Amino acid sequence: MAIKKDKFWGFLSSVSLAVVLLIVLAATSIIGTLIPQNGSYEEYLNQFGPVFTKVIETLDLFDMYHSWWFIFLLTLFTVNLILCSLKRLPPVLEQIKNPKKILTEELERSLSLSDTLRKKGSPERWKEAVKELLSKRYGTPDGEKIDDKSYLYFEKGKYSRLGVYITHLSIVIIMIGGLIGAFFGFRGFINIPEGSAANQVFLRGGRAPYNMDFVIRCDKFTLSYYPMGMVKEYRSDVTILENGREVKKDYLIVNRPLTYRGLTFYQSSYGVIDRHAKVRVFVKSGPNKGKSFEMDITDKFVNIPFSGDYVKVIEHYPNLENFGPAMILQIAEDGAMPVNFPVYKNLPDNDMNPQSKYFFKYLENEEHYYTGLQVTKDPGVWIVWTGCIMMMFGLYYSFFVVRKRIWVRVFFEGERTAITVAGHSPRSRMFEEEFAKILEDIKQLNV
Amino acid sequence: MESSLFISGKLLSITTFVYFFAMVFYIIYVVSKGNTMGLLGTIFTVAGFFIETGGLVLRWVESYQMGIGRAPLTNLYESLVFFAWCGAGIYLAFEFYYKNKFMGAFVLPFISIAMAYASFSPNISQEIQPLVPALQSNWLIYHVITCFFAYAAFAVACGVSIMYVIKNRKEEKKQQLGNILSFFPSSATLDDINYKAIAIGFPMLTLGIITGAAWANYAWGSYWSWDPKETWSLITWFVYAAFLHARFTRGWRGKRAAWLSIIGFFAVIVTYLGVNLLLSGLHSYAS
Repeated sequence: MAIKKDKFWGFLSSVSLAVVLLIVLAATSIIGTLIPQNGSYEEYLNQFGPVFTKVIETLDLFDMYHSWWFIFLLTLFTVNLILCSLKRLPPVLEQIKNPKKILTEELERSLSLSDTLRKKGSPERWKEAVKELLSKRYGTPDGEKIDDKSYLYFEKGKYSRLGVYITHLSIVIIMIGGLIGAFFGFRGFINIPEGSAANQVFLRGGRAPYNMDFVIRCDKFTLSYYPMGMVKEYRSDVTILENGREVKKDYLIVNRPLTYRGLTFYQSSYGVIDRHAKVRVFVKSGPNKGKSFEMDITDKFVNIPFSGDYVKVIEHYPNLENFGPAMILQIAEDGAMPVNFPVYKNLPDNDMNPQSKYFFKYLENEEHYYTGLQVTKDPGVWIVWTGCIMMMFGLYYSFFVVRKRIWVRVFFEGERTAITVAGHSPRSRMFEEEFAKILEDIKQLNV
Repeated sequence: MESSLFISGKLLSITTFVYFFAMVFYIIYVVSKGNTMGLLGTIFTVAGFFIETGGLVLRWVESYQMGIGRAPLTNLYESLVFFAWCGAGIYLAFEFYYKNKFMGAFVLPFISIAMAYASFSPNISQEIQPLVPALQSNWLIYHVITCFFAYAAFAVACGVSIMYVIKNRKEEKKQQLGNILSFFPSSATLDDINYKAIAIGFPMLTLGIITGAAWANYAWGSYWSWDPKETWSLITWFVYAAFLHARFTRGWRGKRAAWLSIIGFFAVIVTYLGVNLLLSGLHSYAS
């Protein structure tokens, strides 16, 4: 039984399980990118048929990243990662604290890079010379003298082996941040007409609306355009009020959210509430021929004075077909089918609806908008960013800080001084050349 | 303005042909082992890299002259060009470090295909367009540079892994290594290059995902929403994470690790192009 238990723990804390889990997570994650997530039941029925829909439903594939089995995989992955790290960390810490500093014969045999030079001159002077030379590259060494033998130990990139544990810890921290966001945060939206204020946030996922303890007012919503007609900016000028007092004035654009009291507001949509246009009307024919007057038009049919005809504005363009600002009017004359036609600001003499009794000249156009803001509360987000920064440190230490160790042993061997140099680094390829260079430098030394 | 617009487009078209010839020279070099061919391959790659650098810089300058100044990293065309640029740079670094030109025949095709696809596909607009509001962020630059640097490093790793698999297959069958294969770097060297390229690519991909998450949080108020592009980038990350751990596991070294690297690059291609062409989401380029 005990053996079985050991085997189980061994398996749960193994790197092999990590490799398998990473591959399984990668493979299963594909499913959710092929089956649209969080759609309606009818859509799935249409797309996949009744049998397959049943299968998909049983396995929670409509929302697979939150399904029981995917969460189970992630949990198993996290447990594996934690156990795996806990098992390997203590010996690593022990080695960092108490590395083998003395180059024993046994250690020397286990290292692939080692060489012994025999030179004239006293061991003491050789030790100092080698120490001076290597200190330039590898920092101050630890030295020791046992019997008549002197030992030096140089180490660089000591903490590089902690990189992997920092990375693993950062994954756990990011997951904690994600869980805190999921349990204590929310995502919702709020639509505010220009000039109005609101404090009720509609939450996603059918939860009850959230009432903020302050009010946000949209003072103005502005759309601006590039010369070629593409939208350049969506902007909401807003004021935050508490107990009727203005406490903050600011603006929101996409990529510039506003945070207040733990809630963050994002510019996410907009819409038109109503349109107003001012035009000058010239009557071209009929009993009122020759008359001319100014008129206010809205997006509901308005009676044209002295007639039974009606007109409304249905669209406004900042730049229609490269002729600049234009409005689309709809006119219903003599009870006939309504006709749509544009009125250009920059083409005041062009009659775009010659059949009509009227000719319209563009004077002003005004639209009133509502702004659509996404509202988010996520108390876990800073934990996530902390984890991310840690992860980058961890990866930097793992991949770009290389641990290099050099051992030196010097002693008087009859007539000459024997200098043994040994080295080790996990990046053996790069280090081999470096080590050869060190030996060459030592050979050149004169004492 | 018109004349300089002409220049950046021209330079990038020339780059397409220069990389193509570099690829051809490298392939001839592998088949014939004529040193002149290898040298020509390197010269053309270096030339292509410099011409492309000029083209990218000019395109940046031109966008300012048009009054919409932004980095040349914002649509499918520009991202393919940038991918090729990173790929050529990283490849050249590895070629000079390992002094082996055989990898060129396996890496240059990725670079050449990217440039050819960017230049000749009728679906890809080469125009310099202004940025829509969602893309107006400095995060865009950090996100794109880190991601594409990673993609290019993975392309190098994939090319080397293909060489490893080919060589390993012959070695396993104890067949005589043909003339060409015996000129490949040793299996150990190929494995080493594969690891080094991924050791550069993986932190970069991680940074790319993190900057993307930070940007998404800024623009949309959610750092992770399981959008297909995000998910595929995570899938790619899982595969390379598996690769890195496989190296410490008996039975997963060598051949299997090489396959993981090849699968990883397949995931990169799906992340980069497949999601945009086949699936819908937030990242659709200039649609």
